[in-house]
Amino acid sequence: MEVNKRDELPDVATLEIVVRPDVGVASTREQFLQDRIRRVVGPVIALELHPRTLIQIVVQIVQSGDTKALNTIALSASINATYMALLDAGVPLRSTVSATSIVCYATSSTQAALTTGGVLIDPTRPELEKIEKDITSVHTIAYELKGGQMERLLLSESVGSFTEDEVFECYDAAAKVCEETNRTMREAVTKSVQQKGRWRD
Amino acid sequence: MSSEVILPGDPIPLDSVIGNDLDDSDSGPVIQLGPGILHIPPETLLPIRAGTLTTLTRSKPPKSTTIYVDTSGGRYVPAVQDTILGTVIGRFGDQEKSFYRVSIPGSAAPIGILSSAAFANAASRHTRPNLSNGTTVYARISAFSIALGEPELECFDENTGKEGGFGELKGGMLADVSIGLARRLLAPNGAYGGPSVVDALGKLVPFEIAVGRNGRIWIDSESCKMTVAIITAIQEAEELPREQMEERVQKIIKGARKE
Amino acid sequence: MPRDLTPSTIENTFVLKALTERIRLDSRSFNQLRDLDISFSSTEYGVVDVKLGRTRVIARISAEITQPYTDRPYDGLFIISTEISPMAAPTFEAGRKSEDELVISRIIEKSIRRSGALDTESLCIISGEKCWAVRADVHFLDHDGGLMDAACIAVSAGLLHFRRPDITIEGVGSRREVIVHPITERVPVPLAVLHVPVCVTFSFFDVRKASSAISGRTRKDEAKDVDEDDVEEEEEEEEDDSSVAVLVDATLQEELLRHGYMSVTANTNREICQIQKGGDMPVDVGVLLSCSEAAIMVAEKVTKLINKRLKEDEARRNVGNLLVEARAENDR
Repeated sequence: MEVNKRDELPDVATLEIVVRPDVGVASTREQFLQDRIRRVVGPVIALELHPRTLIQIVVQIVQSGDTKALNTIALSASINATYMALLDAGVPLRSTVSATSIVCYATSSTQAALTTGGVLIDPTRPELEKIEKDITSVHTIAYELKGGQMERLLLSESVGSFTEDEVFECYDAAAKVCEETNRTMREAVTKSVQQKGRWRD
Repeated sequence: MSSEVILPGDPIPLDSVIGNDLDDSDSGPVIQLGPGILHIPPETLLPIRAGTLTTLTRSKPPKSTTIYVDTSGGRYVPAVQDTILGTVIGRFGDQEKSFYRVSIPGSAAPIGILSSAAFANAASRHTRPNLSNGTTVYARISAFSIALGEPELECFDENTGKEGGFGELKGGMLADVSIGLARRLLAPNGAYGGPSVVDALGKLVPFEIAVGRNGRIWIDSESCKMTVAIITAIQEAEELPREQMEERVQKIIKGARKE
Repeated sequence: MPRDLTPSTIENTFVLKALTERIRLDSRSFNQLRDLDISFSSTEYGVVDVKLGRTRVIARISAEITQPYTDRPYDGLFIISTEISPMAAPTFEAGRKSEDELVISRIIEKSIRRSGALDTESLCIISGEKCWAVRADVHFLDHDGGLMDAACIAVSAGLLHFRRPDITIEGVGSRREVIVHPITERVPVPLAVLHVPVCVTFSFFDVRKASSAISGRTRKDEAKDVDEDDVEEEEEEEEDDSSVAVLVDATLQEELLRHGYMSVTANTNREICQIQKGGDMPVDVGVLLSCSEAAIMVAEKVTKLINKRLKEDEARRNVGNLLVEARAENDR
């Protein structure tokens, strides 16, 4: 909740999202991230409660987990980080959000894309590098959760070749992961609340 | 007073919150909503912040239960009747009717408007204070609506019309604390259980304090060194459990005395 | 518009008054650095996280192969990018360079690049055709004063920590090809770092102003740092030492209130790499000399810490002495 500039909106808060890359200057890749983060986080923030103000979010990528061709880990991690930051800043939010990345790859390069090969959920960079040539599709999925329960699908960003069934499979898998992430978030919040509330003892 | 950690969007366990003692036969339970909870008509209650879900029950009639989400961090959102510490950063208007622009650090609405007539003894133009830029004022928010933007400030006690400690602060030093601590310090004694850092300090050393809800405090004491020590003590011991807090405070103050 | 953090008269008066009694708000002594913590990324080379009190800076070193400048065929490229985002403090605007930011970029540039900390000639692969471009991206995550000091330490430590992939050149004449060996295949090569520059900023307070400020007179624009040309100041004006308070490693509050500052970059060879003085306060020659001496002391301390952390990091990576074995194989 920052002071606003001349692009203030009379009835809602302005949302400004800046994504900064780990290496080099911001490019279309960062523009893409900014746009996606806005679309996921925007509907969750109760913007109407702070009209004529600016909510500024700066995402600084410190170490990217993506290989050069991909842009999924950065996205899901940015969404999770953004959400936690909003929570910590006390910005009014309607629900909780978590995101995940799913990478599908063919187990052997000959049968690429024909059958569902391996699936990696939130892979690390070395894992990605190992299978880089065999990746068939990449999905970034974000869910809105209420009370730890999946509520709505907020983002589904898929690249590559895949079948309808595969996508739905991914949705189900993502839902599980998001619920897990949500639990982790809840734990983190509980811990921080307890830490800040130590004076009560 | 019950408490549990809640995240935005979580269902509020109304039944357990209200309890049975409030169920008057002639009227339903009365629930007052505090900060952090949004009412979506007809009957959805939505928590919009992460924190401790807290309920306060009023046993005196009219019976009511207040529920709110308690947080210690975040940004300060102005509310009428809050006292704040701000800095004069500008002045506008003419001789007859002039206003000060007051920056309220840490606030979601960062600039407040203080009329030069909103002081005690400000009936005539000649008795009005003349504040230069950079002056720190202790003021009360007299009007604020989030849609209108700037909060209006006053520098007098609204019950007596007297100065009441409001107005320009001279000497001393400002420091930042969490808005949670500011709220705790201003709460009636014991509302948050047990003595606060300030109580512990008060037993050891005489000093003056002014607390702004925007997370700023002003301290003045016998010497610079002591003021620095008091500020350090408040900032360091704020989150510690009581015994550790008292120990730390004592150590810091003793250290400042010895040198 | 995010407003500059304007300190109030009370803060101004109090800080000055406390300084006349030789007290700093965080109870440090005048020449004491804040707690400095340096940590390296466990997965990648050249990622350094520096915490100086509440200031936090991350530097990231990366390298890629490009063409050298035509006028300098034997030199590799070394670029330092220091863009300050609003992440450090809301007063910094995204995509717009503020005056402070410019000063910081220039000082870091002078401290590290122009002082020749990195031997750019060693980055040359094939003269005029291919060279390494080493890039240092500095990310300012939290701002509580001393951004340039922290950034300088971060970049210096990053350069020491960074390893570029090993290369071999095959073929002759115009058909020469450069083969890059991924770091999983061959032990990566450290950069040729010639010296470790460490920047120390001194803040000057004219404590004589304290008495006048207490009597109610406020000075305008005290917080404004005027960027002056990098002349090595030799002031004629004589001042007795007691009228100037010299602080090492100022916090943000002290930075906003100071009357003048001087950044000195030094290394353990007792060399001064750069001096920049700003602010509208003239400083005695003696002060300059004592500051330089102090800067060298700080540089020694910081370099020691960097080396200690580097050793710890290497020990962590080198579990079971795998690296040493691999290196021995390489030599054969």
